Amino acid sequence: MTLKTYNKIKLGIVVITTFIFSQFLVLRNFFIPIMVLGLSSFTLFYLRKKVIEVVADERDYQIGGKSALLAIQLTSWIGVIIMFILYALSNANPFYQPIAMTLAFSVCILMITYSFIFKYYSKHNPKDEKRD
Amino acid sequence: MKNEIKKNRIKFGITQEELAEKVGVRRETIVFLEQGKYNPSLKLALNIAKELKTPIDKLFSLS
Repeated sequence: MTLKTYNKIKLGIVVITTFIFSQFLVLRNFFIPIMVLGLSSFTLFYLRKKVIEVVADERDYQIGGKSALLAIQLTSWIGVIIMFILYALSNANPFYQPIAMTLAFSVCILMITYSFIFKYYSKHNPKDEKRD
Repeated sequence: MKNEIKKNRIKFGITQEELAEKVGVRRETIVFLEQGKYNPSLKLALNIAKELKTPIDKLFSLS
């Protein structure tokens, strides 16, 4: 299988999975979305193994690293700003406070997870060993 | 960093796709390398030098 075919199939699977997932969640059915998510992940994993071309190389990993860092920084800043706004408005509407708390904890968890993974890779770098 | 990948690749009569396949990267990476927009890892640089049968110091130089 070529990379182009794989990407087309992947796009189709993602669209179908998202549609089924959202529709069944609206109907408050949680079993089918989990099954669909598991099945689509397994299918994508299987199809990726069938691709004969190089799916990602060192340049992609480098771009991926930079993009991930920027995405984390942007998400954190946006999260913090919205959190402060919601806290400031929580006097007017007390329902804003739990949302602000959730945002604050989400940002903290994101930063802590990033730091732990960064520290782990800076010592072990198992992905590089796997690629070689 | 400057490189002589394109010149040597043409000399050996191989396409970007063939070189990419031999060194295990995507064709786009070879395109960016030849345009000087990407600096390869030492492993990739050594692999390219090996495939193009050229010493690495002749293939890559600091501009």
